[in-house]
Amino acid sequence: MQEVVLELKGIRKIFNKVVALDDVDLVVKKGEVHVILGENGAGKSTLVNVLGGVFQANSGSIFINSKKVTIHNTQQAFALGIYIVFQETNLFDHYSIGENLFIGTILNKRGLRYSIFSRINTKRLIERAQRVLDELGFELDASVKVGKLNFAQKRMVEIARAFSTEARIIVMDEPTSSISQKEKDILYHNFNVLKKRGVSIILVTQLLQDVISVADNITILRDGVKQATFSKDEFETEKVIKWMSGEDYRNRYPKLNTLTNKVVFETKNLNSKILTDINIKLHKGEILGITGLVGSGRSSLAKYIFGYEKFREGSILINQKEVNIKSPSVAMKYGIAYIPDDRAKYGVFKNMSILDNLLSNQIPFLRNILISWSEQRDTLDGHLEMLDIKASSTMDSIEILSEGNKQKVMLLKWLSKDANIFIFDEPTAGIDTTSKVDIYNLMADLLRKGASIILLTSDINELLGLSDRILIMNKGAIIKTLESKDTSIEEIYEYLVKV
Amino acid sequence: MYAEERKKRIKRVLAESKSINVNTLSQLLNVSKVTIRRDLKELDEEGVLIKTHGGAILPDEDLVYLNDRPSYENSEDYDHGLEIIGKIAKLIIDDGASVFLCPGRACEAIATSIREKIKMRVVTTDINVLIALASGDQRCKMTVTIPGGELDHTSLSVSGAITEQMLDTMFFDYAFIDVDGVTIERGYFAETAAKYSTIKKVIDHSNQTIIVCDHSRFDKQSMYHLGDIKSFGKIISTEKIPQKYKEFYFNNNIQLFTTFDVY
Repeated sequence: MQEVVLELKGIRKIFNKVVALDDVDLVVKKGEVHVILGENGAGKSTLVNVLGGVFQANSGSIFINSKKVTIHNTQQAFALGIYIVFQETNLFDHYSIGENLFIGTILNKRGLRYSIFSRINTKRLIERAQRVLDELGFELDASVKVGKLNFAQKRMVEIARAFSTEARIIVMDEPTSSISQKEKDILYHNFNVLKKRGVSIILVTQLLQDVISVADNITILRDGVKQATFSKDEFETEKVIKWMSGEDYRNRYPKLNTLTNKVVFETKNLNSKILTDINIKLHKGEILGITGLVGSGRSSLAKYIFGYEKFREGSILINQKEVNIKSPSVAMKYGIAYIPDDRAKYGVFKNMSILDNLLSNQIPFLRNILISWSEQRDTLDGHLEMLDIKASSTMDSIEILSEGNKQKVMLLKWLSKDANIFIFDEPTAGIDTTSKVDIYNLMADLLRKGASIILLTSDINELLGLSDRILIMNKGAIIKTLESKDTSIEEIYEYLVKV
Repeated sequence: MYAEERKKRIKRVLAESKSINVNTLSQLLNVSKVTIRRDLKELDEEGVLIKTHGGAILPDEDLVYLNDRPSYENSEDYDHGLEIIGKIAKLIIDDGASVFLCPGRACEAIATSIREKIKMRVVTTDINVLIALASGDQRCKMTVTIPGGELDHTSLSVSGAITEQMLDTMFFDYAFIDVDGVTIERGYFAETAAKYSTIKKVIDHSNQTIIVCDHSRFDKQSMYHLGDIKSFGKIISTEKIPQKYKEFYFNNNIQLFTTFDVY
């Protein structure tokens, strides 16, 4: 029996009535690679954040070397021997790779802040860092400033930083989602080196390839619930896909026969830094579903269409006419609406009232002169009531609302415009069930009245239940087009995870 | 024009034509439809006329039962909800399908929404549904069948042994069932024995049964039990349906359409 270094018992985490982790147990042994496998929204990242002390579990306990511990922040986690490589890179752009590599250790040993580097022999530091990088086989120059690296290279620096610490447990949240095959192979090789040193690795991933290449044991999460734990010898692809995907619930979505054959939106050979040869056609009354793993280019596609970023080549046609969408305001003029996945970042203005949020994309002078203010307020109050949004009035701050209700406000904001092409990016991620049902029915309302929807989602049931056609993206390209009615959860998963 | 003056003119128009719709009144008096609806509502409350879907009629002894309806069912909200239910139903039915519309106001609304379709066969036991099908601007071109039977004078629908015998010879792609009560614990209910036995027969003879009812029917029980809450896979209701039903249906893989009308 290998020694158990980490044990989680009955970890439960709830965000605004949504259960993200439902009594999850996990046992990690010394010197093993334990893969946590699951789709987006399965609860993997929440688990990582609980381990790193970013979130506190509502109930359950964590044991390290059989001793019960509480973790309140990443420093504490680190003191307990846990090092976490988060999905977002966490580096200082203005410092070299070498300085970044050791910043954690320096800070911990000396308790110093930003001025530290002036007092440290940078040259020696970089030499030491270079030795670490060479040992790991990473083709990086330790003296280069991190700001000059691309995303994949930054990931490698993060990983090198994890490897250079004294951590006994290294947790990596989707480290392979955006790096090349060659870099993956190097990473896998280094896992073996660490294992020999007795370090345990928790690898969080969506990819079966990662499992097959490095896992000793595998735990599958779905909807916050642990589905199974088994060793790599017990691995069977079909069973694993079944565990990851779960039951087919496509029938519960309010899908209407609104599809027509009139093309309202089309892209021709869109190419950019991230995307390759994107050709999509959207019909009036259609829901075009797009899915793909983290880093597949799905969300970037939405941002390109909405004019947040520029294409290198290719064209966009609206109602068969070529248009030049050079900014979001131009996109809006052409009737495109974009409901982003990151409400906190793009959509909701936190310190404004619900009303101001609703009106935030109206042209200011129109808003002040043409629209009778109080009249509009009455209509909007009526809409809030209809959508069951619990606020005493539209003058309330938007912050008092639940995530589900914020999303409904985001939607309402677009409903008062003349949009007819709606891009939804993860419209129901992290929101409660009744709000989900409302949002699906609001979509049905849009379609009934002649709008079209591009739905980006990683909820496969939602994808199957709402879409007419499904596009699967990988590494910035569309790798498969499926008709919803002819496909299954298993088939979609095969295209998604067997890459 | 002042409200009182408008009301006088509405009364005069109605006295001449016995029935009138909101559009005509709005043009005639040159005020918004909202204003007309408000006037009609007030006149209805005064007992001068009876507000109907989209207009008003003079009170008539044969129509007295209309006043017995609970107030919600005389409201604009109710009419609007039913209208959207009709539109949603239309987008569920495939071309060329055979459809049964059971007795009730929701099915009347569906009839109004689908009456222009050509490639469709509709069967109903409700005379009001029949009238709704026939009262479009254009002549109804679809095949409509009414099973024979005994007429119930209150609901204007046919039922009984003869009706059921005839239903036995038919099969439907879609049956729309207007239920009178729903609870999570017990399921779906019909108010009368006649409605119950017709619906039971139709359920056995349909590929898909779709429940249609406005939100006021939820958390209400009546006498005749049609089946438990999981026995039907599709529900169309108004958006004010209690939250617990939204959650229950979703978690049990049951499709719920609600009548949002905000876009």
